[in-house]
Amino acid sequence: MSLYSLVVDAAARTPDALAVHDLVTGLGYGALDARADAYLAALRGRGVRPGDRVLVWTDKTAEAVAVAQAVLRCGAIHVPVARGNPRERVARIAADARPALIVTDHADHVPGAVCVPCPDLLREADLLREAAYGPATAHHPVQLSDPAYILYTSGSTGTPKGVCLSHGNALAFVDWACRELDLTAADRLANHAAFGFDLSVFDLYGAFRAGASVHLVGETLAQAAGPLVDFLLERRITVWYSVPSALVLMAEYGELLERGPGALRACVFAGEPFPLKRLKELRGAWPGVRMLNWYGPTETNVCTSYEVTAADLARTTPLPIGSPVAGDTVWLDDGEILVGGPTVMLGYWGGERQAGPYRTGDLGRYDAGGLLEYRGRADDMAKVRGYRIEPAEVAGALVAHETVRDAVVLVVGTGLDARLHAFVVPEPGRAPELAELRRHCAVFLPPYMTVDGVHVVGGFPRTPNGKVDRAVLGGLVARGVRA
Amino acid sequence: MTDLDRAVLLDQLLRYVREELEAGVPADLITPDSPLLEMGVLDSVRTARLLAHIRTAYDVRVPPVHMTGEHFRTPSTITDLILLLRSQAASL
Repeated sequence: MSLYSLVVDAAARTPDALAVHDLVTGLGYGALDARADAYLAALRGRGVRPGDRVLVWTDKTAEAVAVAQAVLRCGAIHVPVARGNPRERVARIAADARPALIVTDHADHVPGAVCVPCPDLLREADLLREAAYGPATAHHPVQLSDPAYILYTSGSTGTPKGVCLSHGNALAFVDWACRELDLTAADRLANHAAFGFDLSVFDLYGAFRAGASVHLVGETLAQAAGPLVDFLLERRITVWYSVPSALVLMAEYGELLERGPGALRACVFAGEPFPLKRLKELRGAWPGVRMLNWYGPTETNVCTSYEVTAADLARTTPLPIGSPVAGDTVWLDDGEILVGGPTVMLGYWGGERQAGPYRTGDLGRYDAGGLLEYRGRADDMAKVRGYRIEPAEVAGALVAHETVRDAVVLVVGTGLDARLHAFVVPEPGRAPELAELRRHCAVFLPPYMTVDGVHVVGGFPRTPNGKVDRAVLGGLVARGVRA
Repeated sequence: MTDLDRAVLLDQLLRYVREELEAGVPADLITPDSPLLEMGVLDSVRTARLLAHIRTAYDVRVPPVHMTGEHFRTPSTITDLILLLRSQAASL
C-alpha cells in the first residue's frame, strides 16, 4: 500500500471515470494513470532516483497532478510549490530541499537548478517509449514509512521550512477522512487550497481513494468570490474543503448562501477559527449540508474534528475543534496542544526525525462537554485569511531592503480584515516607503505575505524582560499611527 | 452593446484601480503593465470589488474559466479580457 496506489487501483476499477479536472482539461483515471507512467519514464530518464526530491512549481493543473503521481511512483519525494511564489522564494526552498529536478509549466526558472517544463518531459517520454518503455514504468515499491512529500511553510528563522510526511502519515488521515465523509465514486470534490498546503492532501487523495473526481480551483479563481460560487454550482461539487475565510468571502461577495448549496452535501473547513456569527448564518441557510470543523497543523495533518449540528445555532462559546481522529492522541500540556499518532510528520526536512508527540505551539482548553477548543498561539505565528505566516519571515525580507535597519511584523485584525503591519527602523538618513517595500516583498515572498502597512519608528517598545512589546505596537496601529 | 475603444477602456480601468480600489499603493505606481497580483493589489476583497465594478460598468460577468493569472496579471490584460468577454456576449 502506498499513496500512489490509490490512482493505480481506481484506474483498474474505473478507467473511464473522471479523476481530475482543472479549469480547462479533465483526465479520467485511465488517462491519469497512463500520463503518470509517461512522466515516470521521463523522470527516470532524467536520472531521478528513489529518495530524490522533485520540486513541482506549477499552476494547479491536471498535468501537475500527473507529475506528482509520477514522482511518488518513482519512490521520490514530491515538493509542491504554488506558481504564485516568486523565484527568490522558490530558490530558498530549493536550497533546502536540494531537488534533483524542478518541474514547471512556465518559462521562469531558478538559477543553478535544473528546471524543465512538463511538455519537455512528455516529449522525452515519447522518445523513451520508442526505445525501452516497459521496465521504465515499473513502480518503485515504497514502505509506508518512506517520505512521500514535503510541504514548505513559513519559517520563524526567516526561511521556509519543509514539513516531511510519509505515505503512511497521509494514508492514515485520508482513510479516516473518507470514512468520516462516506466518500464514494459519485462524489465531486473541490480543491480550493494550493497544492503546497496540507488541505490539498484530502481533496486529491480522498478523491482518488474513493474513485471520485477532484476539481482544481486555480490560484486566481481561489480569490474570486462570485466566480467561486459559479464554480461550486457548475461543477456540481458535493464536498467542499477550504479555510473559513474562503467561505466568508463567498458569502459576503458572492451570494453563497442564497445561490448555494447546489449539489453540496458536506462542507469542511480548517486552518483558522470560523467566526461564530458567520458560521451560524451558513448553518442556518443550509441545514441539510454536513459541516465539519477540522484542526491540525501541517506537521500533524488533521488530528481533531468537530461536526456542527443544529444545536450550534444557539451556541455562544467558540466552536470546538472537537475530538481526536485518525488514530491520533491529542492532549494538553500546560495549555499547549500536543499530538501523537500515525498522522504526525516524519520531521522537518534536513532536521531531526520527529520523536514522540508533536508540540503544536497552539493553545487549547476543554469546554464543559470535554471537547477541545483552540485558544490562540503560544508564539508569534499568525494566520491571515487562513495562510500560515511567521512574522519573522516577512521581517527578514524587509531587513534585506537597503532602507530598513530593523523590522517587526504583526497581524492586526481578524478574518477578511486581517492585515500585516510592519514597524521599521530606518537606516540612518533613509526613509522606507510602503510602495517600495511592497515591491521588494513581491520579489521574496508570496502575495499573501506582503505588508499592508508600514510604520517608521525610531525603535521598538520593549517588555520588562527585553522582548519587543507586540501588544503596544498593535495598539499603535489601532490608534491610526501612520508612516 | 456599443463598441468600446480599448484605449478608453484601459484608461477607465486605470482610474478605477487608482482612485476607487484603495489599492494601498500610490496612484503613479499603477500603470497598464503593473503586476497587480504580484503587488498584492488584487487580494480577495479587492478582486471581489473589481469584479463587481466590471459587471456594473461593462455588463460583463467573468466566468470561472477566465479567472486566471494570465487574464488578471495587469490592467492591460484585464482590459483585453473585458473586450474578449464583451465580444463573446455580442456574438451570442
